[in-house]
Amino acid sequence: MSKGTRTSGSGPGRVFYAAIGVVVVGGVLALLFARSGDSGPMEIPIAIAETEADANAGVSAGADDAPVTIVEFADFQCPACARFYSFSGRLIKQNYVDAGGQARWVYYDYPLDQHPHAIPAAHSARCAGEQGRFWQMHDLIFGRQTSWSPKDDARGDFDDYAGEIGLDQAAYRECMEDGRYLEQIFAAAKYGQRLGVNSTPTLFINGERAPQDYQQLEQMILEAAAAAASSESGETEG
Amino acid sequence: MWKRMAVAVLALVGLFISVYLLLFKLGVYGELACGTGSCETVQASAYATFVGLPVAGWGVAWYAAVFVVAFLSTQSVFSEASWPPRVLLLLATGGLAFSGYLTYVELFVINAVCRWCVVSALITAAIFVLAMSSGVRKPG
Repeated sequence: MSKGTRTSGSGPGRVFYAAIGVVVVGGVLALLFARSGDSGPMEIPIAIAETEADANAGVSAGADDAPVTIVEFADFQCPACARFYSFSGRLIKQNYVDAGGQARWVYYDYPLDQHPHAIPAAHSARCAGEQGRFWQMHDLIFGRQTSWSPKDDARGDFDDYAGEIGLDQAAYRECMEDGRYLEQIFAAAKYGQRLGVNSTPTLFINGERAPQDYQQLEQMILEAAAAAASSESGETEG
Repeated sequence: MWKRMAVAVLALVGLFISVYLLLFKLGVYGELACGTGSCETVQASAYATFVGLPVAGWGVAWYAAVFVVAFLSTQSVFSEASWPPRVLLLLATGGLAFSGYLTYVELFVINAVCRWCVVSALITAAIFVLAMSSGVRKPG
């Protein structure tokens, strides 16, 4: 046997090179035909199944008569939701909802079963909303997700955020203890379920599924706004 | 010798899994989201990046290194050399420690377990066991 190829001609050597060949061919084929996702079942809390869907259970920002409606189904403990909001969502909201006025943003809770703090986080934001500060709390909860998410109990963090955004602490605590928005949170998720939502974040622009990418979202918003404007001018002329 | 061959084959399998997870992380196979599968949740988390690079990228580099060393050690030129088993053992120990950390994070921090990460962790453990037993010769 020649030096440098001792394994190639022997029995184990042949098996070895054959195994390498099989792994390389199989691996390349698998990469070419791979698809995203485990296609696992939806993992939402059981309580949601017993709640009626409610299209009005979302929290809205922007003008009610804006020509474009951006709908988001999200879970405060979902890393992809926090990532989406920090990379695209925040800017879209700033540019087209808060400043531009072309769009309104409706946020629906969609707490996944795998995230134990998703419901307390959602409830905390809703309690802040009772005092007109939903979006401030929303931004803080998403912005600091990596800090509270690993904890056994994150409610203390949400209480701190409530103090930070200047909520009336007594009213906030009472709201949290009451659990008065639980029904709305579940109704929002149930509404999402009815629309076929099975992951977060899921976005719709004027009823059409939308991607997470900023530029693609922006493009869809501009197209939806243009379509709304042209149909409005058509109505006026007619 | 068969143990080093097994390490090389396992490392090659792990390399393809890591390449898949890296492409997944880079969005080649679609947008990251929670709920459709635990891999999305894991890959979308802050823990999917380590020292500024995707964890899957570190996996690609680690498996490639293990494959190269294990493959070379099956060649007669290096079969008697003392460094390949030592380097393999060093790589395998580091890999096992990192893999243990990632599994802990999945189970107790992110609360989601990606099946491909589990397969990778099992391969890493198997590589460690084989590297341990494939003969770092005692001096003398």
